[in-house]
Amino acid sequence: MWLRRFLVHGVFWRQLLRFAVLNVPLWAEPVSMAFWSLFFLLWGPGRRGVMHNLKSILPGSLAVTNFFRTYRVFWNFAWTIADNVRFKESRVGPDWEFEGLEHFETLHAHSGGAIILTAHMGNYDLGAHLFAETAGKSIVMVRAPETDAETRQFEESINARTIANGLKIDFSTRSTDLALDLLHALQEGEIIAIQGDRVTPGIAALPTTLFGKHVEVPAGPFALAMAARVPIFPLFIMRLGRRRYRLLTGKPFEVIRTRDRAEAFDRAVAQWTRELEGAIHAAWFQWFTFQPYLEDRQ
Amino acid sequence: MKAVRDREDARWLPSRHHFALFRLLAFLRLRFARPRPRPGLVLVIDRDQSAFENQAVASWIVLTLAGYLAAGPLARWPLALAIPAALLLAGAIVQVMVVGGGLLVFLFPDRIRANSMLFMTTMLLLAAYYATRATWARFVAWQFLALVALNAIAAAIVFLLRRPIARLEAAFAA
Repeated sequence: MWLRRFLVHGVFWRQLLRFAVLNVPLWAEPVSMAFWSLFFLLWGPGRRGVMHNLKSILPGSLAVTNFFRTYRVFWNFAWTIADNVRFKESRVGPDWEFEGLEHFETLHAHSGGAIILTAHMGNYDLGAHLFAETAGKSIVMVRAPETDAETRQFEESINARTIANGLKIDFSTRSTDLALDLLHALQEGEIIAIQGDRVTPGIAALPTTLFGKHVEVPAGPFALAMAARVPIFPLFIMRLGRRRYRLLTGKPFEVIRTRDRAEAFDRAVAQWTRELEGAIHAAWFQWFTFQPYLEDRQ
Repeated sequence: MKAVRDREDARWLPSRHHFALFRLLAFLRLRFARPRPRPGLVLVIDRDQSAFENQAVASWIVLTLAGYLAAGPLARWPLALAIPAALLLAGAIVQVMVVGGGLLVFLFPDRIRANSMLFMTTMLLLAAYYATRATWARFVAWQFLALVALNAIAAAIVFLLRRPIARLEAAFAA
């Protein structure tokens, strides 16, 4: 059905974004962002998903306030995806500042493999591109594929043309083969970037607590860190304003192999969720999770 | 991608600004600024990097268009209703103009620049039209024309100051 391309995950919006990045005067950008963020507020499931999550992140918040906060989430999402396309198409990047610079420098100087654990926050895609271009190391970015076939094809064609040297994108859906490939990459000294805040169907998960709610996070990064004996660096790329980002690197931790594997995982997952909770609490307006994630399952 | 590292004051480099008026203001600001080291800061050199400039110009365009709409097609509406409606409509019109402009300049090598010039020419024609009308929209049109003239004067000054500007920028490149 050709109408599918106009659905929220459809290819039309990606094509329109690319057209805008290549044709719209930069000074008109803020108007476009304001307009299209307002337009996408009509997307009911996404709007309700964000509002639902905000209720848990900011306890006691009013629905009407969360409606306006949702606009802020959509506004930030629009800017981050536009910045990402602009970087890919014209190699114009944003301004950067660092928090946890000492941990970032440790990662930069680290000679073996490492895992960057990040979330669907800010501009993780742009961060991976810039890191691959500046660090001179190979980086494998693991992500969930686009749900729409045409959109997936469109994104793949853009990536094939614009991807940074040393950056490889792999998809979390082929979990068994991928685990072996990633383990091999880590042993070869490559860096793996994985989003550790969302579980896609069919992949192993570990239970934990986030904002007092029971949630699941992907087990893969922790199992890989244990098997390859590499550190995990929590890293978030926060949008501060127009073409301005902060790279926040947390203290690295390891998943130490002990007799009690479950306890080792529990400890690592608890450390990760502490970092994640802190990052989401500080920048709820750029946690791009459009499904109800923090469900009441207690 | 050119960038300046660890210098907060590089935010005011004229080459990080687009319009002559903002380039001139940035030069004056930087000329009298003290060096401000800030480890871990990376500022990219691109003429559209200034957030303040972009947001100021975007607001100026929307407010000007909203003024024309409120005093023109929406003139019969109560002002309290006409202004918010005009602001929303102005945002939508900008989208139509930039997307339409993008399609018109498809064959140009620098499509963003061509589209920008087409947009500003349309705005100038609208200002010329509304400047002669006997409604309050003429004040909106005059301020638009005045700012365009001010930018032209700034462009002449920036041209005359091109050597001092280049020297100042070179100090950051080193």
